[in-house]
Amino acid sequence: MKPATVPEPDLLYWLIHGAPRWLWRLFGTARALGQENIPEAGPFLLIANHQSVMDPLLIQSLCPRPMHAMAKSTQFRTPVIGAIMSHCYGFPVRRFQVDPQAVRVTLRRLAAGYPVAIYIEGERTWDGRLQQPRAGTVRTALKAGSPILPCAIAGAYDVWPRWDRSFQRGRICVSFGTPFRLPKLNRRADREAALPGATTTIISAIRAELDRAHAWLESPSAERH
Amino acid sequence: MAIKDLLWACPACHRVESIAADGRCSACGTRYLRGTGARIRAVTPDSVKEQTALEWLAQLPWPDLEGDGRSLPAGLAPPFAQRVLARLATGAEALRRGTDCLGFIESFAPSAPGRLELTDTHVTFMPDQGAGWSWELTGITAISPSSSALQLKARGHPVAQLRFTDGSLRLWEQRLQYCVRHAYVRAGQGVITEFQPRIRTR
Repeated sequence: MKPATVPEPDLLYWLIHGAPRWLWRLFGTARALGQENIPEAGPFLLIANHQSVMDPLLIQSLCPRPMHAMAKSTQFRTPVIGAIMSHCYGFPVRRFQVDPQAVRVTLRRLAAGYPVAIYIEGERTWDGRLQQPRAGTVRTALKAGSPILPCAIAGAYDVWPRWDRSFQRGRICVSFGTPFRLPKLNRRADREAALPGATTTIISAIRAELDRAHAWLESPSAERH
Repeated sequence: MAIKDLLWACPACHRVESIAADGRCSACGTRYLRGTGARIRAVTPDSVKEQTALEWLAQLPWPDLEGDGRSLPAGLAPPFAQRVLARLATGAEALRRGTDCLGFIESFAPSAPGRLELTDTHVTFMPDQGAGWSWELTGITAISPSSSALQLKARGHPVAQLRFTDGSLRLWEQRLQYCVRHAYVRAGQGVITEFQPRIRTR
């Protein structure tokens, strides 16, 4: 597979990268735990839960490296936001089919050494709970064989739940876990056989980070922020 | 998106799809509003009560709607009908950055208001004006929720995007999954194991 080559981050990228962190100071707290776990170089697949529309901005602004991210194709139709998303290394996925181009772009970017973010639930939670994982994410992880960085976002649901059109002030915690590897499996039959175990491994890792993030939100140190 | 998509029935009176876009139940008059954080406040002339979404969902006659269409709330059986805004994809175009193809995004025709009907065998859209479409459930290949709409794909047809102006998006996802699951089994097409991104059977 031909590795992807993408332009270096420019001033617009860094402005968009930094803006949410500064803006959020007006509205609440966004705290990152485990940032030391984020690999400084090389590819990895960041797999996170999905609580709110702010999640991509939060992850992007709390990661020191530019994150490439898969996002639903219809968002790229939105004027300005669509252009910003593709400028900031987002790429579309069509969710009503297995989108071979989205998988190809993911694998090519990983092969070129870039980190890629995917939400394992495929959509935002309705009630705050972690939803059923989508098998496609796990299949892609098994196909790529890159390190997996588990990531959990907590508090974002309270700030901006899926069923409301506005956000409120609040505290958010993003916890990055220790990277781990799943085997790289080239044969489809092998991937299907490994799917249940790999799914459990990833979800368990995200749950552990979610517990850590919730513990921080309920701690006295969160009260001080 | 609105509270009506989350609360597919009124927790106070249990009437299905009675909560309007403004959060008011057309049957009992209770108004549901966002409270502190992700809590929901129910306001009646006599009381105000605030709970988490999970606590409200626990009061519904069938609290957990994450069943992948394996069952439906008691008393709910097809046929179903609801007002929707529907549109069909007219094509897909490549999204590029420089020479790199990032992927493909669909173009849609303008939305048309109309009525969606779901039976044991077909899903049919009848617009208020013009011609509609009717697809056999055994030909459905994907049921995919988006932010505020459902995307429906059938073999040989463009993807349809359905926005439920009055109904609950979550309940309709479950209804469609339920009817398609049973249509597949009846037609001998197998048991559906996954709905996303596309239907898989065993």
